[in-house]
Amino acid sequence: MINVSQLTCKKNKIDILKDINLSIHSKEKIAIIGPSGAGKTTLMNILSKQENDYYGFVLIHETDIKTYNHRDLAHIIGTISQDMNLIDNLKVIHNVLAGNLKDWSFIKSIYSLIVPQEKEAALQALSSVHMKAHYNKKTSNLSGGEKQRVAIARLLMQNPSIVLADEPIASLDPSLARNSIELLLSTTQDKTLIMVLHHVEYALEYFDRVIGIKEGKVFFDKTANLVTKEDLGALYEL
Amino acid sequence: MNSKKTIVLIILLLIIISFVLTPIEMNANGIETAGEIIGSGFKPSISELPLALEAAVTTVFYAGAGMSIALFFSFFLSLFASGILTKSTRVQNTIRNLFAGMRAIHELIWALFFVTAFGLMPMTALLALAVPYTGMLGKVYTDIFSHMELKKIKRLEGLGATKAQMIVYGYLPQALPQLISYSLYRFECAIRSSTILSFVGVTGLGMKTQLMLNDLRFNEMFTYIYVLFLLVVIIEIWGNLYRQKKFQKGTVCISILLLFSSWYFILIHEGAFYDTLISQKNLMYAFDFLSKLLGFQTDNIAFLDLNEISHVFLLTLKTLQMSFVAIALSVLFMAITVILATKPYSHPLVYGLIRSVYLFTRAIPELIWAMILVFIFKPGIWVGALALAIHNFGILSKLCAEVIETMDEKPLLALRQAGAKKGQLLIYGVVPSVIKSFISYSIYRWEIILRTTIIVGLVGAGGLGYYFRLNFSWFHYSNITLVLIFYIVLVKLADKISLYLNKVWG
Repeated sequence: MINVSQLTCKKNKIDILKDINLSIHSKEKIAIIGPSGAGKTTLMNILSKQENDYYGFVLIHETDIKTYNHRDLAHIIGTISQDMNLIDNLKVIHNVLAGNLKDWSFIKSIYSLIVPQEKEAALQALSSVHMKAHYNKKTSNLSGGEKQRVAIARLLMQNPSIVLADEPIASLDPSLARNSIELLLSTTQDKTLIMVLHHVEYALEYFDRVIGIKEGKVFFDKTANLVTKEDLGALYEL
Repeated sequence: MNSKKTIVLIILLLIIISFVLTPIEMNANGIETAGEIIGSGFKPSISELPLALEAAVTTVFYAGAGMSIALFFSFFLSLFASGILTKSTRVQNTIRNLFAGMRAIHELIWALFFVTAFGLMPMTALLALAVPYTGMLGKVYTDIFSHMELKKIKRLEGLGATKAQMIVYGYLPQALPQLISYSLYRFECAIRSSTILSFVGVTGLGMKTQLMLNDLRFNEMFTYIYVLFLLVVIIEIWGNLYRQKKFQKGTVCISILLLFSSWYFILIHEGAFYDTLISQKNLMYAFDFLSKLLGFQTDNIAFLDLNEISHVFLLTLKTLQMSFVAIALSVLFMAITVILATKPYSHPLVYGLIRSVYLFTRAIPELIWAMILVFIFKPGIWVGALALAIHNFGILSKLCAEVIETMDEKPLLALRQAGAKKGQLLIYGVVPSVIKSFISYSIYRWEIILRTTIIVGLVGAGGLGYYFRLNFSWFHYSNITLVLIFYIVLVKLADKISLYLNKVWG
């Protein structure tokens, strides 16, 4: 499903990623952990085609990611990050419906801002993140946790088969963070989920497979229950 | 939400009514003249260039000398107004009100007053520039001084520093970059103001433009207009360099050079050294003028005459109508072009072209646009509205393009990753994110347009300004007072309305 081979990425002559090889299967739930500056975000940026300056191969469904245009790729890959990146001045429902833009013509997109199109699907996405009651609110009036849920609803609307989440809980308080991970996992049961996490305990508790990255290399790649204290100690140099 | 919709409907209705009541009437050979004027724009007279540069020097030196007076007074007064040199709130408020009064009246109106009171001489022109600019600079200087980080400055007090030492070692170093940056922007405006003082007889670029226009020598006229454009471009580049901290010593050197050469020029070359602004004769004139403004020595006192009052009230409505048409046109032109004036959404060539149009339209003062337009259209509200629209379109569009260029890109990137195309990015990402700033800039420009309607009225664009000028020519001074009363009420009202609208959309 995702095959990364001999991936190397340099910036200012410094290796950010060195010879990464990964094979990720459909519907897997993977946590990526590692110290700051290890190259986790760069890896996510390459997988979402935001970063194109690298050596090696990234194949999605056995096709080089570089050959996809951004609209086709939006059918396969969806992203979510700690900043949520919603449009603050739009109503919640329109932010959710933005997940449909890849399939909509320009005219339909404009019309939907006046009369929301595919409203039922959007409301369903909102109700699965318990935000249906807020659909008509302005997004800027929501709290951080609520915005996070709207961002997840937009992702559900987009309905990609792979979800890349780059530290999605970094700006949430601990109780919300746990809810947020559980929500992401429950709403992406039929999808591949790759999440960069700072919280090692969440990675071990919720994910099938944990990949440790250090100094641009895969330091370990194990099922969660096989990750030892020694692995983590060496990863974070504790 | 409903109140917002009602307000939008009322505004739209007012704009539509204003357009319906504003006929577009061409002069008999207006289209030909328009063609001729536009054609001349591509063929400015090269042989006129030396004279144009000479005129530019006059314009720059008048602006420089006028600004230097304004800088001096606004700086010292703002130290009081911001509470640094006095604790008395009464003194602070008095100076703040003084600033507000000085800037509420346009420099050209001040010029008309001073010229009528003291006669035409260099010092009256400088005074006409210095008074409103003291008001404008003073307000912003006061704001800068009032919003400063006080902790470090207070520490100086603990070290035993006197007030003067605290200003020199504490306040000034912290405030100087902002003060200079704003003053440079205002210097650009002062060049335009100095240009339009031609209307009361000051020589320089404006006077020459006006003369060439009256002689139908359009090619020569464009030489002067392009030189003015160039001046504004140079000052804009200077300001940008300063803000990027690339030209700080140069800025100080040029400013000092400009100060001395401006005053040398005004005092020696223009002979202001021998001006006696405050002589017994002049004081008599001024007193006479003032007493006539107040209705003394007058048979029919306009501001006590119901007929006159209702007439001026109607003219005030016409002025409002002019401002609505002008802002609507500005916003419309802006909305059509602004996206093409932003780097991420435009082709470099188109971007450069449209940004140059913005710079050109705003470099030329509305009064000059109006002077040109009366050759094409019959005098009336439309000419004034169009002139105001052209000038303000450049300013508004530049501000709005900058909002788009500096907006947070992350939400847009997220939309792109969700598969949005460029057009969809615009309507789902850019428009909702910038609309508030656009509305607030448009309200702000409308307020300024309303203040300036009286100026374009002076050259035949109708409304209060035209009536104002006629009564000046007829020496009907109490009518002038009546116009001013309505004008000031209008400006105050615009102030309140714009505050209210900004609150609704804030």
